Amino acid sequence: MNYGNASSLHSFGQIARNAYESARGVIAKIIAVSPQEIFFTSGGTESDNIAILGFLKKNFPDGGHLITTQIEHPAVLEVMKELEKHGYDVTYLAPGSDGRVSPKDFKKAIRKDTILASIMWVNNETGMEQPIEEISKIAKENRITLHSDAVQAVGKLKINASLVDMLSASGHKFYAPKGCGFLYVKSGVQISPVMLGGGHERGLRSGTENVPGAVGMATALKLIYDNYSDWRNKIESLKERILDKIYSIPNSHVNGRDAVFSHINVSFRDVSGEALATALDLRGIAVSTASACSSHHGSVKSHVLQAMRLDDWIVNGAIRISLGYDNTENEIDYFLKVLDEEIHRLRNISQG
Amino acid sequence: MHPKHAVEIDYTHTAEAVHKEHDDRVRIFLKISDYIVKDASFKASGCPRVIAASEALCRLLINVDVETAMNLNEEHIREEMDFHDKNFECVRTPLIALKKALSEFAER
Repeated sequence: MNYGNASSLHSFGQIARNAYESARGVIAKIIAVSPQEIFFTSGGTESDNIAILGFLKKNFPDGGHLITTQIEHPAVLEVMKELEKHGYDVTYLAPGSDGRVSPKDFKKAIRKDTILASIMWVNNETGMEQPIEEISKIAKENRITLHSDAVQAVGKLKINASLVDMLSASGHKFYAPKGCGFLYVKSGVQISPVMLGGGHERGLRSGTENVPGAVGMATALKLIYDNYSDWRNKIESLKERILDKIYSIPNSHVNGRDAVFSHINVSFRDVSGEALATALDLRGIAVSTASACSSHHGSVKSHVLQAMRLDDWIVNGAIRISLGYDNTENEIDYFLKVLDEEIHRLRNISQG
Repeated sequence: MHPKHAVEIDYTHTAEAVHKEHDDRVRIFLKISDYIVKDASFKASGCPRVIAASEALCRLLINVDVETAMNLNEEHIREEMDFHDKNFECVRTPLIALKKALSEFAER
């Protein structure tokens, strides 16, 4: 690739433009939509903001009723909270203890003035897939525009994006460079830009094109989906090994039993998630936790696990284990050994 | 993260404190003889700072007299931990457990 600006007319720019448009085509094909329906952005947060704010700005600038879930990423939740200050009424659907929102609850929440719903495809903390197909059907029957934050789904599941009207994705969730993403907007759905400038991306998202990001996303997605069964099977078998170990540890609780194959969210009684994550980190293993103490916010607890109404020890003890296609059997051997040792050690510290 | 004082000792005084909001729980064990803390240990569940603060407190307690022990405060613990962010409340729970364990001396 050369360094030409994809918006320039000179030949260097046009080479970059060709690579950029070719990337758009590859991505569109993978999620079963048209290239014209893909808009490149800087990531999931920007895609969510453009989808929700841009749709409302264009079609319903004076308010209305919106439906979302309590388990959305802050990129949606914070937008919704802001909209509540500006005349919009928002219903936040609660998930069940399995981490899924119910299509029945979605249907019940619909009002005459409901204009937009934003329901994530896969939850980032629990890995639980939401019933998008059923929700899509209900939304269509009620003429409600449906957006989905699919940041955790694109690159992991084979998805048909046209089930929804708008869909957000983030490159770094599927091995593309950080700082790139895309928004799918179904043909016919009208949205206004939320950021003004040079009119790039057909006026929807101004800002010089991130050609390496777009090409990186297309390449990464192609590598994933060309070898999808192989690497999914591989990760599933690694996950099975981890789950077998977890189920053998007394007083453990898997949060979201049918999670997407790359995710495990688990809590161990008498072991804080933050302490376990730190102990594992000191031994070279990276896991994440959504509940931790913060210098400025006191004790921050996972809004997702709280919404699932799980016990305090489960919320405070949760760690998220994410598996990738380059993880090996040897790494899992080491992880399981260290996990066992650290839980044993932390429980010895905690039990008097 | 590898505390030396999270062990069982032959104790004379003990008490537990719970920080419900943080889901932290700390039990302090003290072996007191002739108004001197001869030994101290703890059991704690909570974030790494709660465990570290409990460990630091035990280090401060061993071989001090009861009055000194009763006068230990958050600043002493932070100094011992070399952790100076006052916004973290995590250091408080072991101190509360200590005060409870020493309550019979405070009443005198």
